[in-house]
Amino acid sequence: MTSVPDGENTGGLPEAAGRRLGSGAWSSGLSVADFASCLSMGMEPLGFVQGYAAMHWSWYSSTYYRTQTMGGLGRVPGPAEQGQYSEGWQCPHGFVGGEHRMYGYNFEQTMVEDNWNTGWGLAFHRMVEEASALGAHGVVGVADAMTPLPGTGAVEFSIKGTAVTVPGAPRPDPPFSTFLSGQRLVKLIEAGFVPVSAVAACSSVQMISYCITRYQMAGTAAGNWSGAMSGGVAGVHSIVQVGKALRAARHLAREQMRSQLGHDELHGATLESFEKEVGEGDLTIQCLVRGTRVRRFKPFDPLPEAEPVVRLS
Amino acid sequence: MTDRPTELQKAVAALGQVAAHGGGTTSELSIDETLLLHSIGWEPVDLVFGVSWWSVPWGAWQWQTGEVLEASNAFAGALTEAAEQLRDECVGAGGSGVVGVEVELRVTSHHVDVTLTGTAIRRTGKPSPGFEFISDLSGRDFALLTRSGWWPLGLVAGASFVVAPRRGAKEWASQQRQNLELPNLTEALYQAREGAMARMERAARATGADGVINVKLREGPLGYNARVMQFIAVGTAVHLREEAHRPISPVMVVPLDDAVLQFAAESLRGQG
Amino acid sequence: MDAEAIELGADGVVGVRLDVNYYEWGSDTAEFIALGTAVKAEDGTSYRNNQGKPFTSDLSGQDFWTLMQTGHVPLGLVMGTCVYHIAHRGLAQTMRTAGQNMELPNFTQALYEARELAMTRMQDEATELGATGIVGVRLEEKSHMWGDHTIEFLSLGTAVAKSGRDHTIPEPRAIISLDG
Repeated sequence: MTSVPDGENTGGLPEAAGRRLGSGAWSSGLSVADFASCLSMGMEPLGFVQGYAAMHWSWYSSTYYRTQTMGGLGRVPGPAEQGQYSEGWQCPHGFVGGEHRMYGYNFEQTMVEDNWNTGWGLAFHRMVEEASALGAHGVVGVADAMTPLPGTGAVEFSIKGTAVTVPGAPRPDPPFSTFLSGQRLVKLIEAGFVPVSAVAACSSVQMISYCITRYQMAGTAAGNWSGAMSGGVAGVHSIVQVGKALRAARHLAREQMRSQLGHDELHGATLESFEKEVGEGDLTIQCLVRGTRVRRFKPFDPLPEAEPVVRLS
Repeated sequence: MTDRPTELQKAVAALGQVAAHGGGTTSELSIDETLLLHSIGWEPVDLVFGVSWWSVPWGAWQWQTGEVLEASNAFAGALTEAAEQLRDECVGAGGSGVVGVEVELRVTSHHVDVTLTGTAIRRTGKPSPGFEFISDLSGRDFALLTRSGWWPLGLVAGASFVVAPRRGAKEWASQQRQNLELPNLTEALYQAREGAMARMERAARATGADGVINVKLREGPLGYNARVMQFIAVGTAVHLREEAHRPISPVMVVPLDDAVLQFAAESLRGQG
Repeated sequence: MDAEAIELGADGVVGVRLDVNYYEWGSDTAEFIALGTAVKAEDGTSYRNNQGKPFTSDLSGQDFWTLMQTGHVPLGLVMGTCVYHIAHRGLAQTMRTAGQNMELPNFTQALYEARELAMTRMQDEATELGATGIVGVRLEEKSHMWGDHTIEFLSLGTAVAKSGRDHTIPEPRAIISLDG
């Protein structure tokens, strides 16, 4: 059931996990309400399962520093790989100066994305492995987190859930998984969908601003200032480079997510976006998308109309 | 009602068969919203986004009193641009409307940022009649709205930022020892409110709406500059499609699930 | 809290809230508070656990009702802890040489072991009570000031057992609330 950890990152379960999972009572992260819903569906908890991976981490790749020291005069950092997002801008002013950013770039940081995919993937597969070892049909109520380990420059990916069995059904390999649990899962099945897997994707885009963007971010773009004093109201502009970088990050996350779906659909997606200023007027942007990959197993059966209610207290 | 364990067994057995075609849709809607949408003949298509940042000249906040038109123009510009991106993505994905739009707004001293995230939807089994609306209504609210005979026309908004004039030295001195209203700030807030609501109304009328619902307001001083009063209103313009409004008659219930404190003996420290 | 419940002749305690406080006036002192409501079955059945003590649980009244509907009874709050010291200094060298996309397997192993120990201890407590399962498991992590990189893992849950009574899980009604 368990394999001795071999030090390589191939996901051997620790010996303690084997002992716990093999013993009598099951444990579960399910609340009582979710537990009741599971039982009503004909699903039984088998045990609390978890997977972890600690990774060396940084939010932006070292190519940023290289560009900085070259005074922003360098070419687009790194060769643009097949399908990797990158866009460039060139200064229209025609003068060169130390502070003046002649070139600007938006580019996808594939190293950050690969690092994230590795960490999340390892943690996820370990959790699913624990569930398989228990003979589970699936894992419900999956919760994932990314915690920095202070003072180490590392982060820990953790993914936990409750392994369940469905008596009377064939065992899928690998077991299914979903962020849902309880009544939401019941309703998903009633709607005709079966969960296939919890999925997540991360995109990372670095924006290195060129002169125009810098001026716009500081509110000093040419033609910007007129205001009431000169009787005009002109001078507000769309900061094009930033908009493109932020949209690119979201599109990349969505498309990476889509590439994991096969011919199935994504349900209940959540999107989180983080921006951080790294140096004046430059941004690093990360988007995380999570959801459950679902497959239709029966045609949609219209529900009886729900009763509208109003609470009296 | 269906026999749940049998349904679940059927569902899990289906995992052995991989779908051969189709799929690839992404949706942010919860299962409740999805079910309610399906019950009125609609389905989710794709997650869609619009992001737009507009710059504001750096002196705009400091060197004038009264309305800061640069800021409200930047807001209008950013919202329009983001809404257009959302519409394009919706049409590109084959949808005819966007629901559950989350409207994120940020006003800094140098730029106004608007981010819109929603789910594009279309009528099940029918070709799309073209783009119809974007709205910050949730899937549930959209279903309730159409059930009562109304239709969303689009997202409408208005913003206004007003710098209150400084009090004169004499005025300041005489006000130190009393509890009284600061009329310059009150005036500024009223002016901002009128400006913002008028703009939102104008935008709604331009779409042919009968009214605006689900309005969310942000009002008060700007965080980093307390003399600037902001007022931002965002809502969904709606129109009565049927002959008359169809009332929903809800059942009155008394819930027995009051909120419970978990894991905190705070009442002992007088914080109960 | 157990003692008070026994004195009252209770079958169990629900809604237990646990809290730990550290005060300025006692640097090596910790105050533990356990607070709950003692309950007793109206039909005279005893719900005390296999050690003759009233069950304890952090379940709310609503959760307790729901649990009984599924044909299970709560047995007690079970807990396991593990305090782990991570010798991260020794790993600093590894960190410097580690590139991107590389896992830190020693770290992962150490944290994994610690959590498993905490959970196994919790599970052992449940087995002692004769439980068939544990619901509502929470895994909490705290860093303490006891030394560098000491982490405490605390695993908590409510042990349950099948009640052997006839039960039907009622079919819920679908409603759509108009209260926002």
